[in-house]
Amino acid sequence: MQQRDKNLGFGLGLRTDHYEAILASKPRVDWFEALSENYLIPGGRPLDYLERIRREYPVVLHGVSLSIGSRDPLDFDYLHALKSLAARVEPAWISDHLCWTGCASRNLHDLLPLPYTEEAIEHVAGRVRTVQDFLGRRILLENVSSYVEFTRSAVPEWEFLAEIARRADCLILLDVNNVYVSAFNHGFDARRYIDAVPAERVRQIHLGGHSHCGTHIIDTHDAEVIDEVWALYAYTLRRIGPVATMIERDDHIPPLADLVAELDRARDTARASLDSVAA
Amino acid sequence: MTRPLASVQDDFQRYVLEGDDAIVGDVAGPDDDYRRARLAVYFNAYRLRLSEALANDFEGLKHYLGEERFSALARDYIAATPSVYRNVRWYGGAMAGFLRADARYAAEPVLAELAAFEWTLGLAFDAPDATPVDVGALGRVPPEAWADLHFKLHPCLYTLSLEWNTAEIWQAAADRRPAPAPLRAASTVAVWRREFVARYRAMPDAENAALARARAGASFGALCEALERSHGEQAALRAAQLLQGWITEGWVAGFSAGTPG
Ligand SMILES: [Fe+2]
Repeated sequence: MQQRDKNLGFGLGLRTDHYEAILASKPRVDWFEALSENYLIPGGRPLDYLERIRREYPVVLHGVSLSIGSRDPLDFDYLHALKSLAARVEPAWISDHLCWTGCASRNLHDLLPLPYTEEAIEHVAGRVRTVQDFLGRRILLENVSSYVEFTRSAVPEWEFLAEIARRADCLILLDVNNVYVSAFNHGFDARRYIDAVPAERVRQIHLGGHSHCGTHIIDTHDAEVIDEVWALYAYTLRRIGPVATMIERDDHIPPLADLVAELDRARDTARASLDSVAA
Repeated sequence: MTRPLASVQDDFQRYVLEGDDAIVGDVAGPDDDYRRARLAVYFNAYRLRLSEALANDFEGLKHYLGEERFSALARDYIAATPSVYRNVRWYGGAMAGFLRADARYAAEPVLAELAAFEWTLGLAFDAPDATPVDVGALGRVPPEAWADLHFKLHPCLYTLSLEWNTAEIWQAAADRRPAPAPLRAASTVAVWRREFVARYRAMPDAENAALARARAGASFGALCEALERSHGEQAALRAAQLLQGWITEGWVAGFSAGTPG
């Protein structure tokens, strides 16, 4: 089993509701993931809390608006702001999503799917290289949940992701819940996706809850991680080895202690699945 | 021949913004019902996400209008205002202007004022950081240097002219009380942040005028002079009181003798 550098352990998404509880109780959480956009503001309370929490815990920055797949030019104002935030916070790494969020200077505030074509691979990989050169570090790209696929797609999503990562030489944030959601929505085998992920590039894993709508699943991050996703997580670790893992909760946010308890399940699942590999 | 990425994105975006269905044929699926149902997830999510952002930014307006009218307002605003912001934080910035200009809302001018008031509270909340001056520092200024003192106001300090009892309506919402009826009542309020909480208070006309002068670079001596008309011999005392109040509130981020800045 190869050991990755910077395996931060088990983390949680940093949410406003928990600022006080984190500083007061110093929970057994190895690191926090802060949403970059929440701190790309001039000043005030969020930045103050982030800096105080950063003094106690490692932090990574996770963005939602890089729009790496958009046909619009890269937004260097955004990248400058992100780079200064990173200089201030010194995150262990910076991630965003393999998607687009709008074009023609409009923003749809959503993580939108790309057609899995050679043109898109080349487009995204080139832009990732530009971003990495600008930030002076490799970034992590996260697979998103999707509800549609385009007829023009020439390869499956897992090949699209792997090929971009290879050409851009970037890292991967593997969202196991998103793999589960997209597998259900598009009728593929989630394990096939996991099998195809370039293990050595995966630096972080996301786990989260979702909403099942019968015919499809929506990635809402408003509930506990379900058993099937825990099983897929265990499968993932058996294949790729230990990797920093965190739970995302964006809605119906429970008390911090509940998420810390859910994170213990991630620790237990990881221990059990890695023991089974070693045995 | 693969269709270019750019046109897929244009069509997809036109679908989300306007419901244009040129993208439907590009979506994989057994039939159009399926394709439309899946696309609708994105159509609905866009509206839901922006409505939530607006409800978050305009809690007072929502309280005043009630759930149903606020939802209608959010729908109207979203239809009229595609987002050009990377950060959804700024999406509601055109709300006051929309309420002032749109025929469905312009007849109730208190709505635009309430939106402007709440938006300003948000600006103060997120304004740049700066260390406020403490009263002690001013005490160390030698008496002969006072006339030439210039002040730098804190970047979180905003002033807002109101023509209605907007602050009262907002406060009722914040306290979860029924909102009072709109009444014409002209006032000027200061909006700022202290200890990470956005605050406001009404300012008398003379104070507002003095603050505007200080912001524009007037010296303490000039503030005293301007107050002579209303306060006569008490002008210097009044100016000192105002300044002490501003400093206590955390409105002053710096002072210098001589050149303003
Ligand atoms: Fe995720």
